[in-house]
Amino acid sequence: MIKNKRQLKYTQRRLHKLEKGLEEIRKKYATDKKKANLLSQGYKEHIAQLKSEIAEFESMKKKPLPKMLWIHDLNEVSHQLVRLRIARKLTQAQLAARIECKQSDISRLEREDYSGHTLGQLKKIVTNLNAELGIVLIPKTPRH
Amino acid sequence: MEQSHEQTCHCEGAFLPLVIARSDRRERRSNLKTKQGALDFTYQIWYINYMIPRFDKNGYLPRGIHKATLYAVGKRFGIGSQQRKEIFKGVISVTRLLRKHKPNIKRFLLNGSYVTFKEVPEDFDCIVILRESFDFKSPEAKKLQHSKKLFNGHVLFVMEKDASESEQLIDFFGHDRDGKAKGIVEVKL
Repeated sequence: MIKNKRQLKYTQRRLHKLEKGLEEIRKKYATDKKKANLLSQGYKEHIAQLKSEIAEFESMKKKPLPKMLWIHDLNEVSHQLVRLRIARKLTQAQLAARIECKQSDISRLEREDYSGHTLGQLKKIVTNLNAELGIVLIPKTPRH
Repeated sequence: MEQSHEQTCHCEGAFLPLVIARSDRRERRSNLKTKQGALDFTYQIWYINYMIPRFDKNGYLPRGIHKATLYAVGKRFGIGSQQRKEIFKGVISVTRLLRKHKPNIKRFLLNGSYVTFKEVPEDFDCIVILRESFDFKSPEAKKLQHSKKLFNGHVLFVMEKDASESEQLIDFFGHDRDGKAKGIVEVKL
């Protein structure tokens, strides 16, 4: 997931390189179709993935936020935090300045594999992003 | 392999477990019967487990290409979440297909989020460097072309002669979006 403009530029550069590589393969192995197909398949998949990531980032900036951002899993916390921050048009550094911490702390909290968020941290960030944090406990119906 | 024992070599900063197994009992019996004497045991080095280093503070392997066997990859990355276990099944399938063309494959490199600290990676990414003699018409090649659907993994094929391209790809996958270095695992076929 792309989180800031620097990452966006880096991804665009990667995309450009991959597209160039794909073109070269098509030219080089134009006579051998099977070879060209196998060699280009991976490139195509990566290009599609990068394009969808870029589109996701662009849409996060433009699209209005839904009324509620649901977090069903701990892995989704960072994703929704990024979404909220980008929708509020703030950079990591700007958000860090607001809540008086380092930019690297925000970067860590927004990492996909990070799951050490505390409720206090989340509340502080979310209120500074002009939103509210709510926790819903849904008891499952007991089985008889 | 009935009897086996582990030898571990502790070098400076490196830990290389070396598993040596004695040949099976039948073979040893036959050796005992030979005139060469009872001490003529044949030892086979049947498995060398390369060390995969620890993750750095970013949750990545240290910069560079780290050699490992499939067994070591499974022990290190195929554990934890259910998703990781499922993905490892895909890695095994791809490795099995590649093993059928072992002489025609130069390198099999695993990269992407699967070889990082990430608990629930989506899929696995790998680069396969092929020799000129690789048979593109083989059924394995056909399966590998649809590896995303069949094994939930992106497989990028590069020809050995296109060295600049493969170097570029290794560099590409050796860094994250912030430009931080990420280690890559070379799986021994």
